Amino acid sequence: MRRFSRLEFGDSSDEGAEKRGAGEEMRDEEYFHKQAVRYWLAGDFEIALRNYSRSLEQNSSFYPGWLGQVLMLIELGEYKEAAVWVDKALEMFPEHPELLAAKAVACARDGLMEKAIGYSDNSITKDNVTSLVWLGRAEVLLNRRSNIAQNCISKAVAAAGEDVQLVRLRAGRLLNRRGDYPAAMQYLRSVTDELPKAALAWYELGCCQAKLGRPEAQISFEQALKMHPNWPTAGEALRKYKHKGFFSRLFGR
Amino acid sequence: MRCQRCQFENVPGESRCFKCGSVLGGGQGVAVDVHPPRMGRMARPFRAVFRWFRRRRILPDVKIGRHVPAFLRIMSGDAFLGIFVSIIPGLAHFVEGRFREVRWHVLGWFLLLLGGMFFYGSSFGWLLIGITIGLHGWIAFKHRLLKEIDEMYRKMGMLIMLLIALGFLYWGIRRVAFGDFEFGYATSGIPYQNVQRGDCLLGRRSRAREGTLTRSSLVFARFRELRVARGGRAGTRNYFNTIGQIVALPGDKIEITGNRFIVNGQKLDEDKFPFPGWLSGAEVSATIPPESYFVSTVYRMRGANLTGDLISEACILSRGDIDALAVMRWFPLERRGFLRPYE
Repeated sequence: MRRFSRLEFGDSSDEGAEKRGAGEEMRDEEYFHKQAVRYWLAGDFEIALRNYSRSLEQNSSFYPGWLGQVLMLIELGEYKEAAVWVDKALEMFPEHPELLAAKAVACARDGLMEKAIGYSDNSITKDNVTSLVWLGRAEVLLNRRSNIAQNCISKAVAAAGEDVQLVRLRAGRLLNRRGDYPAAMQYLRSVTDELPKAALAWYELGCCQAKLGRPEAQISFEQALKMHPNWPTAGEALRKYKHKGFFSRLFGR
Repeated sequence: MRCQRCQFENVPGESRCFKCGSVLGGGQGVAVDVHPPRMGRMARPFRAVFRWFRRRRILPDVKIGRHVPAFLRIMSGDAFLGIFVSIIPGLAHFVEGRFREVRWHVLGWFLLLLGGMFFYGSSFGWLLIGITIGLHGWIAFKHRLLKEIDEMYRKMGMLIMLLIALGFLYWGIRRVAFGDFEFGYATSGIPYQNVQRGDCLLGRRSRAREGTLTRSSLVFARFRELRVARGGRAGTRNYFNTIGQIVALPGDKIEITGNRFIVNGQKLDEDKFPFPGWLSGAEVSATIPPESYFVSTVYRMRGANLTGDLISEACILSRGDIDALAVMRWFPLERRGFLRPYE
């Protein structure tokens, strides 16, 4: 592409648009958002975060970009930065329940349970409670070992519209994190059935299976590596699974 | 313009929704930083440790109330980390990923410390060392040390406490790392050694222990304190540390007469062995016992009724009383140099 080929000269001719070709997608905020979700499903959170940032470069009022950035920061373990960024996002979208829920999750994972409960309570009292809010609630409650958490996850899945598989994936990951592997596997299996190219779902499923001592774990890890070659996390998990010791195999751990 | 969140139909041109306050879709003109802050690479393990403690309720997970003392309150968050990383200059910036500032802080700290050591013993040297300690406080301050403390007087109190603690730390490091060296101020001038009263001298303890003490050596020693009682009668009391000059070695016979030192029958040169004023008119004759030295120093005892025994008691020191041997004129700079041995 020539350097000045996209300058606007004030004329209304659409020759440039025609020459761009019908097959090339517009690189707007939606495009980068899709890319970010794609990278998230591949387990590449850093690239996903960059794509969310690029979507916001296109349109700074693009809400999914702000939420995605916060969620990716949480995935990367940068909880304090996530909390800071939620505050910034809340300046643009005041009292947004999903942002409050994301902050609750960040606080919960950072060990700030009192704050997490506070933000979760706040998020749940808002209108239009989405599946993400319920999942945030579930995570906070799971931290407190509450039995209501499972109901929250069910509500989250029920409230999910078109993104039900993404919500199931989040739910499965949450349950996997909290050690409820059979329940997590149910969600993750449905995700791998519907989204067979999601390396993250395969990896999480493999983790659950490995924890339960199921031999299918190896297939799941291999599938994750097939979808996302050279993924160090999955590679390490597969290597560990293959080199499990005698007692680990004996006790299925 | 319809709000994406609450579906409220706003007046065209508005940047925020009238109902819910959200930013409306046409906000591209607003300059917003869309790149989130990132965690420094080195911060991860520190945070993991604090998280582990918080999850186990060892560290509180909420802001502690105002009734808790400030020095305990700082333990609850990044402030403690701030104090910890401020001890090593540049570490705080390294943890935060501000690598460019690391070298400036390390270089600045190093230069200040070097300058403080070079000018040690002078007011300027103390100023540089003070600034070096202050640099730690500045790092701790910048690294969210006092963020969680609200009141100004508590902030100042914390800062002062930190600086005092750092001062003790420096003192301890000096004692451990440079324990062999001793600094002191000359109490009298010795023309032969180009030493004037008030000069800062550098001594070494190991040289005193190794047995290289010779006549005319300047030593850092522990002297008996002479006190004048009522009626002009003098006596010895406590001990004090100062610099003195060895006049007679073990086995020597020393005489003080006519305001001169006479050792083994030979009069000592006034340039090399200046006669202290407080001994004016005194008459002493003594033989130095083994492992002891006659060390001349300055007392403000003019006019006191001094006896020979009292002078001997004050000036004849055992080897254990000698701490270090002065090896160098350290300050002022124009006369910095090694001391010339006489014998």
